[in-house]
Amino acid sequence: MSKEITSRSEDYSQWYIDIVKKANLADNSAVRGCMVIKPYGYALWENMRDQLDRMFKETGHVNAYFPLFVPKSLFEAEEKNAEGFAKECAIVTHYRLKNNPDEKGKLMVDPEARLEEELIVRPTSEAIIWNTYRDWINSYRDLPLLINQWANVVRWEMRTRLFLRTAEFLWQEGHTAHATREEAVAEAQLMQQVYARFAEEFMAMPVIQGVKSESERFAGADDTYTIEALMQDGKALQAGTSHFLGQNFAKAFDVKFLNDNNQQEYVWATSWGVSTRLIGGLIMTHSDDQGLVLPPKLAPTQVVIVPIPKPAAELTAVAEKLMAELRAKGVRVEYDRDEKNRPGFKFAEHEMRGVPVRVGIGMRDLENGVVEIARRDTKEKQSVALDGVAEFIVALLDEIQQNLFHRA
Amino acid sequence: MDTFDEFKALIEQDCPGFISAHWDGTAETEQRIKELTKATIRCIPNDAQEEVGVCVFSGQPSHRRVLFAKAY
Repeated sequence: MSKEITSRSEDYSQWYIDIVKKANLADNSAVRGCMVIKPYGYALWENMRDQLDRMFKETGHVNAYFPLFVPKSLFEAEEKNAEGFAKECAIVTHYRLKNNPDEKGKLMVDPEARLEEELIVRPTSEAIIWNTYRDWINSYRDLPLLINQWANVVRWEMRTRLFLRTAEFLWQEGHTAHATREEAVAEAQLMQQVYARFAEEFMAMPVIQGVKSESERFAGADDTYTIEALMQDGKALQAGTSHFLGQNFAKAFDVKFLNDNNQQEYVWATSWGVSTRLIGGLIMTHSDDQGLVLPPKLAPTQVVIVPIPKPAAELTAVAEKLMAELRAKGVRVEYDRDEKNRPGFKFAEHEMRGVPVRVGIGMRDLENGVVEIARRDTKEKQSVALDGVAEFIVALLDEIQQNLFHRA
Repeated sequence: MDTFDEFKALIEQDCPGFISAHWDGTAETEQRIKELTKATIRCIPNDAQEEVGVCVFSGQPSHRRVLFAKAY
């Protein structure tokens, strides 16, 4: 079969790339180090994003959006942060192209359109956000400020790998401001716990929570709290970090508040983020030599119904009824209407994209009042009575979610 | 796992995983271990217990274990 992937024992790195590409999650692009996230990969990211967003809101945060560009003078204000990111910055120096007089049909950077001040494409947004917070924070009544943004950032990495390390990536970054040190530390630790809960309950990926050594800390942080996951090849993946920033950014951007004793004080800060890197972690935690394996809670499609051998009218009628039942229970289900390929080919396709549960319906089974249920995690198949099958599937999705966590 | 030879043997295995080891708390030791084995300190676990010991690399006193691993 053309879709075969390299086995893990043969070459783990190649296996990973094969999965990303053959499960249609992402691809390389015309820009070195930047990826195209394909619809299936983006659907997975949307599910992760939506759940994280719910968890942030449940812990009192709101979303906002800050600019992509950071003026250089702001970027360099917090010295350690600037130094830490300086070597991987993309910089905008001009704002216009013009026709190249020496080469017809070609464009050139217009030397007269040089920016007075260079703009840094954000590698992270503390600088632009803390420069804004100076205007937003005056007294203790303005605190805490609990803001998150969903954005893209750019870090000019030399060695890139799809999802795990890309020059541009999608992420969320929380930036909070507090009246006391204790409150900021508590916030940073709380978000570490939120990330750990997301990783374990939704990604079914066990993590260790800890604090970074000084040299592994975020540039500009006083402490970095991390969640670390172990991949199948015995290498660790930093899956999310939450930073206690002390008063470093408040001092760099002169953000003070009037405390309840009427005294001016610098504000305490945190920032925290997870990115599309999590998708790399998800792949390397659960997938196998047949392709992607996804936890039901995040899978874009949780159940696929495959008519055997083809979508005959009677089979389609049964499938549509089952789909309606499953959708009423909140299950993401699709029906494979493809008439060209054989069931065996379709089964392999759905295995490749990691659909947790496959329901096969054929005429002979229907006469006996059963359907065939196959689970992606263990590849076990069983006949299940059509009557009550929706309840069975809902329970099975839950069991698969648990099983993935326990075997990871 | 208490000697650096054992540490190296563990980290060079096929599927090394996390290695819990004493560290003297200095950036120099951390850097040397990274150069020699490609392993970095992933974290000091939140549930790390106080434990008297000696650093797996330098032999200097240490009061808790940290987690090393090769990382993505």
